Amino acid sequence: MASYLLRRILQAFATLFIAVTIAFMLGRATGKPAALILTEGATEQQIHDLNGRLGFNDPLGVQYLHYLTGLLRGDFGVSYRNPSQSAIDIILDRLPATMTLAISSFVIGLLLAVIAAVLIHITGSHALRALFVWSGSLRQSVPDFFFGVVLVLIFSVGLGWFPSLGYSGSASLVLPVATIATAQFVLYVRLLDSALSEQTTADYVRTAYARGKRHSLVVVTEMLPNAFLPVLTVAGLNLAGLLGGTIIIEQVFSWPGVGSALIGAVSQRDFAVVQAGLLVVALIFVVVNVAVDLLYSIIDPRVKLS
Amino acid sequence: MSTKTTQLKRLLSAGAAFTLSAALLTSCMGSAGETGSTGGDAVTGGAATLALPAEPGNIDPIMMRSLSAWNMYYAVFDGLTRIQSDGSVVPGLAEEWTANDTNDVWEFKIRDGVKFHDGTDLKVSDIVYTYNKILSSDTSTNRVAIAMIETVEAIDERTVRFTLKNPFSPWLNQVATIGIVSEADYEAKGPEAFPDAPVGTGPYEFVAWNHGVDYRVKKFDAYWGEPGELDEVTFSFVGAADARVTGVESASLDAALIPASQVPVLEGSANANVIDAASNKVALIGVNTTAGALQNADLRRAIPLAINRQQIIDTLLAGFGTPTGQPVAAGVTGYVDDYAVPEYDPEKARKLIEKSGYNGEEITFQYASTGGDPTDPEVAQAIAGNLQEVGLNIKLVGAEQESQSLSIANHQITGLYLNFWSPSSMDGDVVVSQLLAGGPEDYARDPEMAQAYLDQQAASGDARTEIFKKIWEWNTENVSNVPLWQITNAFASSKTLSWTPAVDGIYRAAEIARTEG
Repeated sequence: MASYLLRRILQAFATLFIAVTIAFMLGRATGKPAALILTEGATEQQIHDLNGRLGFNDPLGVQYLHYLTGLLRGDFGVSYRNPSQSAIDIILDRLPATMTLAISSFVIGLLLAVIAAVLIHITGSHALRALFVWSGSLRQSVPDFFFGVVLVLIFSVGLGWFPSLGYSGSASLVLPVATIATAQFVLYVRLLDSALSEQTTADYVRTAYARGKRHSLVVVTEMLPNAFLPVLTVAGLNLAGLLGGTIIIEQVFSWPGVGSALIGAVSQRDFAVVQAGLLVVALIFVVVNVAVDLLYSIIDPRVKLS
Repeated sequence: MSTKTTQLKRLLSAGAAFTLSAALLTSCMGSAGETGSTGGDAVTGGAATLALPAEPGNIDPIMMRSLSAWNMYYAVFDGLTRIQSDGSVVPGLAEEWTANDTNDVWEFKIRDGVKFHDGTDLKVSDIVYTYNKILSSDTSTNRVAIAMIETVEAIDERTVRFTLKNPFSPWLNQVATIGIVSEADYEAKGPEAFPDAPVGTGPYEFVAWNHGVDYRVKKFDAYWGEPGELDEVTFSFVGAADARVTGVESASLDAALIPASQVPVLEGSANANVIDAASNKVALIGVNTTAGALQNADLRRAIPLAINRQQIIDTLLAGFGTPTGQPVAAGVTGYVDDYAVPEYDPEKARKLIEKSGYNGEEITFQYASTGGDPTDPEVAQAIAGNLQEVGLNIKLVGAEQESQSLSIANHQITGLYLNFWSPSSMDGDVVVSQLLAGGPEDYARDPEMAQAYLDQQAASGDARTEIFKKIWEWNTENVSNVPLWQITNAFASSKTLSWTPAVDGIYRAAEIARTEG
């Protein structure tokens, strides 16, 4: 286990290094940003001067070296749109909003999927399966941004139950969470349903019945943990994706998350913020992936981490 | 297996009951409303949430010159003068002023009894400090706007004098855009801490800046001037246009600038009105007069004649525009009354192109495919269609708005481009400098225009307007750019809000009130 973790940490550093390098190079490839910072009336000379003061007139190699040495000192650079804020602070400021949205949507979507899949198999009801799977297909066929707007039109504009946008208290969480959670639900309910179906003919299930265990107990205690394994990988990737910022949902609901901060920084060519943001997102992916591997070995003793 | 069972049981028992009913989209519109100005009897007090399409990177009048930040600056800070919602300039912290004959020495008499939000008195030294602080900053984006200052000094306890490097008649507009800070306060906080605890002299004082969400202010009781009507104002940052529309419809927001294409959505809304307001924004086609076939003046002269302005306004902009032949809007200094709008005359355009000897060479037309106004792509396509009809071989090149801005600012346009100009200082000076007198959008670099630019800076009143007219006439003749139309702003507004949007699209928080009911 120790050697596994050590290897993963080394891999993580390599991943992060590649991520920041790509972010650095792609950003610089789009041109020097001073012209976007200066509003109305800047002359070419003034634009050139500001680029110089911000270091963008240096050779690319020199800029990159400065950046890397800064990173090693824990200096992520400063947002040039707001020189008073460090780039990493701008991203970390937004992380709570993103985590609140991502984790609550993920947990609710996954829990509901587990409940639905278990109900289908305990009752053996075709009608129930048809309901969940078909309504799921319907939800899946609607893009998230459209579904979000429909929820806003019904529950916010029409009924006035929830705010249509913003990040102020639990009421503002309802519509964005409903949008993401339903999409997550659809995904997991299908996976769990087919995984549970595969388990029904397994030897250990027959044995459990032979021991006189009740059907519902067999589904929950015997089949579900085994059916959970394929879901885990998908769920891990999904969670990491959600934690990295749900850009479209953040736009629809004007949610102040990492995604919207990143989009804003990209369009403003605020390179330091883009780099810090991608570093954080890459780190989240790495951590969640390791966590999924560890969970695998806990849930399924056959999985050995080495 | 048993421990796993317990875990799962815990997991299951933690599940909340949740029913997702498949909701069918039904019409959620309320009773019919009307388009027009919001009225009703204003009452003092209450709160309002005003949407802004973008959050400024920084909200510090020393460091940051930004269109969206002005919404907050005009609430929290005062300049020496003030630009009113109709674009006129009136006294602000200065109650009177004088300029010498050449408009390069300006003296402002500062009013008595002005208090900062921290209770201290405004001194002339605070004004001198504010300007010098900007001028001495390496990274302040305000520096460009006041770079013409030679010296700024306190003459006595109530007078500040600006000596400029060159004559600059729009100086009164320029000082309106510089919010004054307290020297003691800014020195104590520095540019790091000031944006999150700013102190100004404006009608509203700072409450909180929730980054990415909103900026909150409350009424300043000791304000020297006409006090604000609302007790509390929240500036809410909402990037997506449709989120602003549904935000006002659902009363999450009280006012928002919306694209013309969204206006029909709001007709019939129970909560919201649409207010249309003249703006300082002009749409134009920029021309790289040094590129390929565009070097030929006859070919360039065909472009204004080929575009069916009125049809594009009616069909794509829901009528929210007025055709124009000059690159500044009515209300902006430099606007010439009754200046001719080019006729839509495709036949004449065809003849001019024929005369130019054009051989079908490809001409690029750059526009913002995303990130600009949502109608930009359609407008660009319609213009390209008009130009193709008269025989030009147009290639549309779409890019994200900021990339397009960079190409423009870096003087890298390859042919034609769709652009907009809205001078926040409400003066045509900046438009001339950018488009016709050596700025990044001036490809012709004509010495006559460079001189005319300097002449208008030294002139004032009617003489200045006359110079602007000559500049626009030169542009009509030489087609360095093709002014298209003046934009009419569309604001979605709560029916219980009483206000008149300003021509620059910037909220004057102190002039917004609630109505009864």
